[in-house]
Amino acid sequence: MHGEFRTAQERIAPHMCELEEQVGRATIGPVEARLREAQRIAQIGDWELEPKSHRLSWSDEVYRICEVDRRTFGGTYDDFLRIVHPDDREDIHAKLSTAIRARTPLVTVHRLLIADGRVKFVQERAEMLLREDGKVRLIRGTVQDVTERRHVEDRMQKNLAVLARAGRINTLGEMATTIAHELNQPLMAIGNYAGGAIQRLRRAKDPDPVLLQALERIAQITQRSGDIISSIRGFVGKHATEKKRLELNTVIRDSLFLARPEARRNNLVIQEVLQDPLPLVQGASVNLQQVIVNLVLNAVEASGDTPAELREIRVATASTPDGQVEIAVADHGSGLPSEVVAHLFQPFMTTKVEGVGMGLSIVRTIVEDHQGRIWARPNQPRGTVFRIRLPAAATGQA
Amino acid sequence: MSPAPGQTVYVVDDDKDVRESLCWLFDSVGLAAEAFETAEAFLSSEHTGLPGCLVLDVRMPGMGGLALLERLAERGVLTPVVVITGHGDVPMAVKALHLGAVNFIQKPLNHEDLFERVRNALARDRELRESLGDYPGIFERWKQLTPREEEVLHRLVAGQANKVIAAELAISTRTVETHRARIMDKLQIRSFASLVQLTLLKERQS
Repeated sequence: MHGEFRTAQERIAPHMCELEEQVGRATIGPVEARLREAQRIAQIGDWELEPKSHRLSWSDEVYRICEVDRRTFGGTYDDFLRIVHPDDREDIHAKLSTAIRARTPLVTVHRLLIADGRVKFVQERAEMLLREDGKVRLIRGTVQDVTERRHVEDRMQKNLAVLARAGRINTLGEMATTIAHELNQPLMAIGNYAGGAIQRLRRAKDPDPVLLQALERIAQITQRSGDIISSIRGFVGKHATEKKRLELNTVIRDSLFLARPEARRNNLVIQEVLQDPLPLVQGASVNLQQVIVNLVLNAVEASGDTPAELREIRVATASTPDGQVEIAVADHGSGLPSEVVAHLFQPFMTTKVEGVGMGLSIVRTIVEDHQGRIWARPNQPRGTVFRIRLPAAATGQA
Repeated sequence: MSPAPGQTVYVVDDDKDVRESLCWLFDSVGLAAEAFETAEAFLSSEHTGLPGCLVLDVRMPGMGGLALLERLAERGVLTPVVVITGHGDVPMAVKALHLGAVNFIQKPLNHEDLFERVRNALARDRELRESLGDYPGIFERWKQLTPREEEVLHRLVAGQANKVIAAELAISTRTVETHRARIMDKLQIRSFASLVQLTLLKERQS
């Protein structure tokens, strides 16, 4: 009986084996195929590293990301390090060693140096699998190509830097212009008094030559000071950025990209209501971006105590019947006190505790530099709408 | 070139130091001067349209210098204006000239230049008054012109000969001359040159 059973078992065994293989092919096969496909689409590969033997095993996508041929790859940790960018090798090795020692997950971005000299950015995420004795048995990880994302981030970073610089130059320019204008007035008065005194003295019966000379010196020096101020204002004026024909909606989308994180931090939604197509305008996109970012950030700041159902900032564009382009930035914030409205766009006017009061003054300077105008009105049921109108660019003009 | 008696230099500037010092400066060369803080203050005063000239800063808060010029032109006030501009205000200066400002001067001021421009403005004011009579009233009288008289006036100023006007309007040369005499009579203008000057000014302002 027992022997018979064994014989039957022996006879069944190969079939069982075959069956298992078939089942394996039928289920694991498609799963693996789907996994491979998912990895290809997501550009994420997975890998395993045995810390003891330094053996490395890669999925197809890892080979694709690293642009290495499966047949020529040595398959060890050292082979991997050889394709890491030389400047990052030490760092990645140190981080991995630390993770193994501390048995902590690893997330890091490093560069790969591809055979033809290109550089790629990849993000590694790894976990430590432990033996019963607590030692690391296996490191299992994923690698993702983040080169594209990195480039976008770099570009935005650069845009932000340009914007910040333009903002600083504009602020400085505006302040210099304001100071120059403010100083010009008393200086002119000094010159006028000196001039009037000279005239009177010349007509006097017996003018004191020493006094006359001193007054003439005052007049000359006042003149010279005036010239210096004029040259400062002339110098500031030269920083005007070159204007091109441009699509305002693009400028607005770029600006909102910069302003949105701040809105999100304050639980505010930015609604875009952009008319498309919109007539082109003649403008400097960096400066116009500065205008939009400024207005949106002001709207965010004004919306601090806005109730939840109104936490929205609306940015709209539209063409007007008289051939202009209008931008509106509307918030449901605290609104503007009437005594502020009259001086809203003047330098050093601010309602903020830490404000300098240059923002809207610069905004207006930029808008006027584009032959446009800007004004503010109360919004319904609360808040403020800022409207800007810019003339559409003449057609056919380069 | 001393100013005619009764002529005043009206200084309009929002900066107290500037307007007071300018008055003192004009006074030192024998030019009577009076100061106004804003364009609005000058416009609502009794001095608008009196003999003299205006000196104003193109950039003023409230109603700016340009708006004041526009308002004066609307009222038919032809008081010559010297506009003080800052550096780089060329477009504004050009606009001011179109609105009838006789001259502009840049900061920092050169006093000799300023006196010269102001004296020219005063001379211009005197000429206008001599040839036009009480000219602030002239635009009132202008309304008495018939459409046909305005048509003839327009062609006269454009330099058309009486014969040409007669032929194009299908009237006699004699009738053209009658129209011309009646226009001068209605407007109380003594010389044809003044008529041309005034019409051009009016066209530029409207």
